[in-house]
Amino acid sequence: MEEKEMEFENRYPFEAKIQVNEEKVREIRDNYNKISSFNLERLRKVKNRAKSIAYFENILLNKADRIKELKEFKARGGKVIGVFCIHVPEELIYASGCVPIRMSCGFYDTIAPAEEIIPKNTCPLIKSSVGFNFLKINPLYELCDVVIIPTSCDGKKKMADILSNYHRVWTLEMPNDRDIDMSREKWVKEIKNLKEKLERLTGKKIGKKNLKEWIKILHKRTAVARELFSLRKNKKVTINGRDSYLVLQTAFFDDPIRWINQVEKLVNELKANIQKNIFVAGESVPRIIITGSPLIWPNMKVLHTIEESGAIVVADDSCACGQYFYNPIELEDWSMKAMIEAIGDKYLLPVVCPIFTHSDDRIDRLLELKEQYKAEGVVYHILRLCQVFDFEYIKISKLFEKKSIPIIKIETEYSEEDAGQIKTRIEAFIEMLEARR
Amino acid sequence: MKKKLNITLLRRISQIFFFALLVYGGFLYLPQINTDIIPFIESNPDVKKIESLEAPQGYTEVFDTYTPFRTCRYLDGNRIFRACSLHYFTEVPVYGVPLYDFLPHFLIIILLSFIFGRFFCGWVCPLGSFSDGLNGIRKMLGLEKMKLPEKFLGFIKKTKTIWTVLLFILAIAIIVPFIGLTAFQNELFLVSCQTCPARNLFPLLSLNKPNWFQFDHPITITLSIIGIIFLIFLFFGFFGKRIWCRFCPNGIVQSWFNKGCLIVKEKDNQKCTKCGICKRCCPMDNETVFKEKNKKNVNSKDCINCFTCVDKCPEDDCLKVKFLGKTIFKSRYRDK
Repeated sequence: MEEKEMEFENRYPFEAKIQVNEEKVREIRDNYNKISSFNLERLRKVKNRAKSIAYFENILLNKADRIKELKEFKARGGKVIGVFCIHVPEELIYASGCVPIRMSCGFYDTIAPAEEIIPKNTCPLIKSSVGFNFLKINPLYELCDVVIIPTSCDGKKKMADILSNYHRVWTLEMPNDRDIDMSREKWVKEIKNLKEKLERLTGKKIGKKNLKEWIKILHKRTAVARELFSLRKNKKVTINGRDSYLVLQTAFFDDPIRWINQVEKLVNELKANIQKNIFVAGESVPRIIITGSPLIWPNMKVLHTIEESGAIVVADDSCACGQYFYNPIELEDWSMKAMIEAIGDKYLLPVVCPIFTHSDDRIDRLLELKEQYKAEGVVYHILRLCQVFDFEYIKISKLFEKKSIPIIKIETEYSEEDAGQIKTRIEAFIEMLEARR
Repeated sequence: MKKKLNITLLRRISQIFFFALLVYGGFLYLPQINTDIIPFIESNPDVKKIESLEAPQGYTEVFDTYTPFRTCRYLDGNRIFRACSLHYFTEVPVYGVPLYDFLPHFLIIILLSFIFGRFFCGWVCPLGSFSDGLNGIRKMLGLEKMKLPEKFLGFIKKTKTIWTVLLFILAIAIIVPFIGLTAFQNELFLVSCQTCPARNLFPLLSLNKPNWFQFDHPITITLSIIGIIFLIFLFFGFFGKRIWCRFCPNGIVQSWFNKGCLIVKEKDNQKCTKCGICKRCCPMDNETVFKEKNKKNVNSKDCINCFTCVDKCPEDDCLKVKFLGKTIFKSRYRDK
């Protein structure tokens, strides 16, 4: 592979600057902290909440420790890599001695400044992520040496081009139809390329032992996350949807081993709570699945509305929570080739993402979640201009109508403008669910 | 999490047991068995014909038991156990083995096939176990696995049935007078055995005199070349997948039972996340379990009933092994 092929080529870079002065940036930064702590306060109102969540709240609000840790890590010669989407193989990144940080964001205030370099008719997640990282509201962004962007939806594809003006960008070529063998082969090749790129970045070979070790660690992470989710299958729930979102989203930037330990602590506390009969929600509370566009901190609007209106989110198939660590790796032998293939499969085949041509796999997953978590209704959240989820809604709603599963479509933005309207609709939906019993 | 019964471990035990029994079982030979007590057991009438193929001689008497398998004829003194069902298709019609001698064995193997399908390859066959053993050695050495070219595997898939049918026709044709092959009775003697990799491998493994390939006649030269190629196929098992098993006439005959047998592999399509682990782990590169999206029953001809896919499947209750409608084994997520 040539050097030229390795990098994202941009022959006509432009020098556009987001015209925001320092004061405005500071204001946005303050606002971010304000909204974060406001969200946490709303979360704290829930009764019988597990105490171990305090750790996750802390690291979300106060990233200084993690930044210090990463700066020390960089001083020792380590590299930090920003990633988008769930298609980036974290095993490889960790094994090469780098640390991945997921860059997605759900912050409203950074949308307006980002619109100078990104068209208005783009989904808010992309605009917000670009603005959030570009304005350096996210202090972790400055630490990134490379940003890896899988070419998943159209927005992400073009975001790679825009970001390459300001930052070193690698893309991961995603196949569109994963049902054919060719796309799997292509994807495995792409993973191999990524491995070579990482090796060139760090100047070290990715060893078999190292990779095996990290596969096992991340397998543990999957096991822990699955255990946390499976606790929500019980009739009486000990952790609500918002808290599980909070816990999972701290893994975007936290150290995985520490995160695993903390979640284990949390799971143990929740299990003890079941013994002690301490519950967040009883049996009579309507159980809801949330699906659709990913909800990313601090955009907790829909979740707040649902859970403050008297229902509980028991499951989701979002790439930012329920599916983030769901899929495990199973291997029959530990040779490098087999490991790369297994990693490739893990990040392509079972991933519930609407960017693939077929939507049936996602529907299967939704039906299965509904059955396993005994959910009564589905909230389909769509970020305005997120086309892929919108396309799938039609098929899903028709099918659910036939199966008489209540579904409601909430199309919204990051702004709080339509909060009242959403609240009325969701309250009516929950009332309907209660009346159906 | 519950501890899971490891079906792969169970299978390994079965494989080792039968490997020892079928390859080294000859050393268990007990001449003092009184043949009068056990009905239907007599010295094998086809033994003398076998001797003409220079089979090594160790024991003067040969026993047959009720085990449904015909042992490999090239194994010295190990005719106690019948290890190969091809006996009924090649030897029995050609040499007129008396009914009382082969019928009990034949019925038992038919019955077992109706119950377990193509269980032989995954659980019993010493050649399959040898192939798995080679793969294990590679894993221990930490060598990379190798993928064989698609074209080659496709060729095997297309020609395996033709090959099997041809083999049986050839085996029987040498006694049908008007075809004109009767003149080559000596050369075409038991074609299936002459091309089988076990012919040299098993005697070598059990420290006997190997039966080298013969090159004294155009027909024997052709058969020897095919035999050598098959022996090489068997050693391809070293690279991770079973190759010889896709071409083995015995396995192909048994695979005809696979769709109607009582052991059924079921898949819950809703629970399946399409993660592709079943496809990747399959020693036969069988895609049916992965690709099937509508039907529940995922039994297929290529399956050797090793149930590795059920063992590895990470979704709870997604894949199930059922016997007469009763679940005997199901997939479960393992957190290692």
